Amino acid sequence: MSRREGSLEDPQADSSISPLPHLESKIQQTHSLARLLTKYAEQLLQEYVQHQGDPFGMPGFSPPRLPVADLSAPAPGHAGLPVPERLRLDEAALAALPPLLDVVRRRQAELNPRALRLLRRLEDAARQTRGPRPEPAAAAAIAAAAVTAGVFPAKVLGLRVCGLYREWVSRTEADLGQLAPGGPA
Amino acid sequence: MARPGARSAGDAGSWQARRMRRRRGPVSAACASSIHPLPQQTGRQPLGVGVSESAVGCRDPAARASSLRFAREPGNPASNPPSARPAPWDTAIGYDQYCSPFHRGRLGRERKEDLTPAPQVSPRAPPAVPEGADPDEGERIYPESLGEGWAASQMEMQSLGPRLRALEDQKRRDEVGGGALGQNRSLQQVGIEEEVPAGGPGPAAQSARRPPPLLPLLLLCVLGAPQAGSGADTAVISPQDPTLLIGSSLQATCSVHGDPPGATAEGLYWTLNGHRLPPELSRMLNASTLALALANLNGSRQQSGDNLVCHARDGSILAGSCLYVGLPPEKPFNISCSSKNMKDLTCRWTPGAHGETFLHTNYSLKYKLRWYGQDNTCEEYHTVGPHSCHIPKDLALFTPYEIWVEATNRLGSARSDVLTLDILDVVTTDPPPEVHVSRVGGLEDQLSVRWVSPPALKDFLFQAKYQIRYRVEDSVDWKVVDDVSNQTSCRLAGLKPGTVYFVQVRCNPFGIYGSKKAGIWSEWSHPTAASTPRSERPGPGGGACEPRGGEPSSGPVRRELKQFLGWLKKHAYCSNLSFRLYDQWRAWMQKSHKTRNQDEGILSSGRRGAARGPAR
Repeated sequence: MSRREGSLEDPQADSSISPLPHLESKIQQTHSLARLLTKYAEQLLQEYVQHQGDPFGMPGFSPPRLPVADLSAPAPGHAGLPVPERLRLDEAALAALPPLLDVVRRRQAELNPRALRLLRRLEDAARQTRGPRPEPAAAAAIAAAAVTAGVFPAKVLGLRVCGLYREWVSRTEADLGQLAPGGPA
Repeated sequence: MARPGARSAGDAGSWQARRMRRRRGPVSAACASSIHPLPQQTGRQPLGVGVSESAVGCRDPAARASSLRFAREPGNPASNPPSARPAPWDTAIGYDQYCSPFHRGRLGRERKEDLTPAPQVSPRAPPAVPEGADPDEGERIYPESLGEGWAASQMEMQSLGPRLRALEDQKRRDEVGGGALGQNRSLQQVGIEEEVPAGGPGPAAQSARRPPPLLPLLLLCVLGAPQAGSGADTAVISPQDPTLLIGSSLQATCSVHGDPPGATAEGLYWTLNGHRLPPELSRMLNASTLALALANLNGSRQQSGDNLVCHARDGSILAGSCLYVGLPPEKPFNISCSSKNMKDLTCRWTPGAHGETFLHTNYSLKYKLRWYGQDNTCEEYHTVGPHSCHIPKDLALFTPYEIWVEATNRLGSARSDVLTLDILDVVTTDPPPEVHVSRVGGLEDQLSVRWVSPPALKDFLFQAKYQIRYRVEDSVDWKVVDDVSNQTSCRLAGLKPGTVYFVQVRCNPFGIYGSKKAGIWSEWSHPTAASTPRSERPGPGGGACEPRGGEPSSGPVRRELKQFLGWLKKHAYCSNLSFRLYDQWRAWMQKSHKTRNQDEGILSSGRRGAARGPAR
């Protein structure tokens, strides 16, 4: 009988197989992905502010941090929560991001139609965080509001969404890093 | 010197020359020597290098090198059968059969329907995620599969929580009971099932089912209205997002609405694109409204609009408006079109006023059949430059089309003059394929160029003419051989010995379907390189490739020789005289020189040996 480490097919067959390597492998993979996403999120934010013009991107630029439906920045106490709770919040935040990123992309397609790299990054970000869950119902309302809003508020909203994307991906990387083999478990 | 069994040189030349003429049509003066067969019967392989930059059909050397590298690596999706679905983790870096190793656009689209995550992923080593990967290597680096992998990992993450809790619980029980953890148990034995939410709600969906408490506030926020109970001042700028001509003036206001009511405009100030505007441009209209007067506006700095912002005394942003300052578009002009193989139409144009309107200007190429039909709009833009469009579908022949360009921006629109053309008048082809450059025996000043007629021409009733250009390897100056006519080979003469040459060929499909008009020259073929043989004779400076005095290898001398040979044939009954015979004589001369030098060398060493005495 062939032994497949981590296989769940025949749990009775080999009692010496531990499920932990499979979990560790998944955590390691997901952590690596999150790290890559964090880097891309940084680049997306830089690209975004570049195309909105000054004062976006200037040091000290601090527009109102408008709350976005179903999504806020990671709470200061997030790191102190139990791991499962942190992961749950991470997953919920990442699930809420794709429709917001879509809204930002559509608006930017009108404002900056020649900014192909920015549009591509927004599209990639929405796709990379999109999961199997149904997207929050508030997305449609956000999209409608964004269309009717002025250009400056739309720019600010996009900045907020890109910032939230970066914060949550970075938070997820940190949370998974604590679980990854070699991290502070 | 004739070989046994071979035809005499004169007979072979005339017989084969006639055959070549029948096959290739009229012969141009520039390629006169090409009507004679190459000396393949000498039994020697061509000595040409035959290096081709078109090895993988890619112009970018770096990407070509990467493409070659990735194409040979195992697990290349291009070589996998379509049914094999690579696991997400294996393709973290996009292997691809295209020029750039990171481009996954087409492959990603092909696999869009596969974007559902597998419920179980077999364990494997972590993906080789590149450290410090930068997608700005000109192409996308992120494959579709990463979305799958992320989705799969999200599902795993959801199951991780209960699993971890269960394992921890089991660990505690074992510790209490004195047993070892996990040695004899699997996840199933400890009562943990793989949690695959069958479309069921996750935490986000659960929260989404509750009425989002912040949505009304969000709607109010993005519309610039004050937040109820927020305790903060907000403002409204008027006008919102105006569009203005360069040089015009603007009167704007910032009206403050505070909570509690009674907010004042005292201390407010304006910035434009991050720069604070001089106070003298502002004045208070009333207690809650600050006005701004701008004159002689410059064109917008970015296409998304200049950012005009109203700030509170402490610098916080109260409201913003984007100004669009520019010019209406001018009439596009200089429309030119070409049709590749009569199957499509690609047009280019020049925007009016050098294209600088400071506003986003949309260009739309329109076309219609001249005498009937409706207006059509081209849809594939930027195919061969920023102002170009490609019409891919089959077009009508022998009937004129009208083509024009419309330019539109926030300040107006403009339309170009109408271009009328027949597709058959603007036909071009792909460049000639399979261009090969090789040496001509041992001739040190000649190279032979051969190519294949573009395949599409076989279907069309027209002729083709070709042009060749060549240059020395380290030069940027091309020499053009213009009169190559309808043949598919040419011999370049008067070249420098021992020199690498790059050669390109292009085609013009003229006289299509009986028309007398010339078509459009194709692009040049990929450069093909070859080197002329190095001169065997020591020249001045030791090994230089300069010919000896009187050696008729230069162009003008060769032309004179040709004229002399022609006169001889006419007046001296030497019908066998030809360039081929002359070239054979030169090759024989070089060979005999070489043999003589070798013999002299052997003879010299033999004499020296004899002087030393007999061998023991």
